[in-house]
Amino acid sequence: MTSSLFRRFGFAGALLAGLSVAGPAAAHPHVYVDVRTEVVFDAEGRISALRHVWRFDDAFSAFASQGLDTNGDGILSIEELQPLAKVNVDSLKDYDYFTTLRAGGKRTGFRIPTEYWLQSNDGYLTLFYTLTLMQPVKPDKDGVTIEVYDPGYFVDYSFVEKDPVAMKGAPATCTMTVKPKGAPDEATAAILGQIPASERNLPPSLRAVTAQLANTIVVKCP
Amino acid sequence: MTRARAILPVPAVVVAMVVLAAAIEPALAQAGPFGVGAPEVGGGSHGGIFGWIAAQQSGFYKAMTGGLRAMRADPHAGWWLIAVAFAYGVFHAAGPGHGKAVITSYVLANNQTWKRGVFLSFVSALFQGAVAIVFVGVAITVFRLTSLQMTDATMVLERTSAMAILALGLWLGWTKIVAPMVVAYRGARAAPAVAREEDVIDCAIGSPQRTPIAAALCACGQSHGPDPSTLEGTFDLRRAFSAIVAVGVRPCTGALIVLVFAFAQGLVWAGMAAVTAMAIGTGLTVAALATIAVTARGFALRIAGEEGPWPLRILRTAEIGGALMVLSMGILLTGAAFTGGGGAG
Repeated sequence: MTSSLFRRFGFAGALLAGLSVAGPAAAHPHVYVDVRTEVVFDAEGRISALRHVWRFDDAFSAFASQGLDTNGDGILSIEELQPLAKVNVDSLKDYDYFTTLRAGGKRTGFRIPTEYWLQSNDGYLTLFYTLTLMQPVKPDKDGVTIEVYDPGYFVDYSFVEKDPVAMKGAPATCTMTVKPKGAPDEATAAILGQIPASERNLPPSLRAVTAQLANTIVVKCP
Repeated sequence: MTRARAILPVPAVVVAMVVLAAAIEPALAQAGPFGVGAPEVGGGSHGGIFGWIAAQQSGFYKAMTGGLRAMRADPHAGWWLIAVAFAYGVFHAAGPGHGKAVITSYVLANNQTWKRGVFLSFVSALFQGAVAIVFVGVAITVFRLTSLQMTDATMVLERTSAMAILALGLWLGWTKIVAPMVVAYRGARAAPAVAREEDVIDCAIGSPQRTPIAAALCACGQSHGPDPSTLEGTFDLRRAFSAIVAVGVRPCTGALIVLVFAFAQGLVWAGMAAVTAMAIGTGLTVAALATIAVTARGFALRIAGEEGPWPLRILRTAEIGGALMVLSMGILLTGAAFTGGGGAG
């Protein structure tokens, strides 16, 4: 009886070991992006667009710009980089530009960008592009919350240290708070690894976790 | 001579798969958020220690690109670069897109010894590193490909790898699950459905007068002798080669970025050394995992003792479990590679 139990135990143990070894996989960033963002207001004091300036790390920049110096002068011009900029912006659509904008809990989408370009400086590529809101949003006293991050953690977004966010054309009453991302602790990183890169509609419990990765801007106009 | 002939069809099959992978235009395929350098597709994570692993990977990846940066000014940074690349490989093997699951399951499915598991682990990891080096070298120096074209080519290789794993899974499923069931069913119709010790021995010694039950036992492809501790599967080089190719043909994104970065700075040798160190680190982790799986199976066999139905049951379950695992990985990866969804990124 006992030996039979033992056998079952050993049997289950062997299976479990095999399965646990074969199972999991965790993600980690391959792209590091320094973020600057301009919040653009229209004449009626509503937020109408976001202008992103994203600088990629040098390794990814080298990879992405490989073979694009088409005239071979050793300089990557804006024209030479334009096909890459187009692919960047086209591909980002599937990831909602890693940008969310919420007012009173309601999310506003973005139009497909028409204004975008890449610049190369000292081996670093910087992507400039404008996200126009589907509907301009007027911030009230509770504010508009803008977040920039990749919940799938393939891209590691960080606000630049100096003046990461600027407001353009904002009414005088408007104020903004900028909160850079926190470093994810181990438990957070574990959960992040489970989220597919394309998943954007996270349940509230997961949002609380991924929010630690978010670079957040809150604009209030009381 | 026989070995050479046995391996010959494999390149042909691989070429056919690459062509097929390139020909199918997936409607929803995603080449990553920036269109270049796609996240690897793989199974989901299950938390716990893997968060810690992800954090280590992230740190060592940054240290690796930092090491290349440092080499511009100081050539002695090379040793540091190789050390962090090795460490990155050790942790990165736990990430998606690496063959640990396939290799470990394959070792279980074919009842291989730990030595062969270790061999397969290192060869598949080194093959993957070599693919990355040859891929980037040829892409840059011969074809002058852009990153966009290189990413397209990577997607083709990813689909090839996924389909090869699926094919391997189907093949293992057939030989380890379906075929033995068919034989057992036929045998059960003709004879009492209980294996006697003589049946096991008949099979093990290759007796010409096998009962149907003995034939069914033999059909697992192994010689199930009376002493399970000496049991091991046959080492089919062609099959092993197909597992190595299936796992290694898709170079990992981290290796590609590091190599292109190294090429761009004229540090070609440093990049190649880093990727090789990375592959050795990856092989080490996969070998450790395969060893754990084989040891667990051995432990179960020792508890089970030598008598009765349990040794055989354990071996068969490990085989069937391994075959099912490769098959499900194949289905998952193929689905993900062709739709662009489901990846852990």
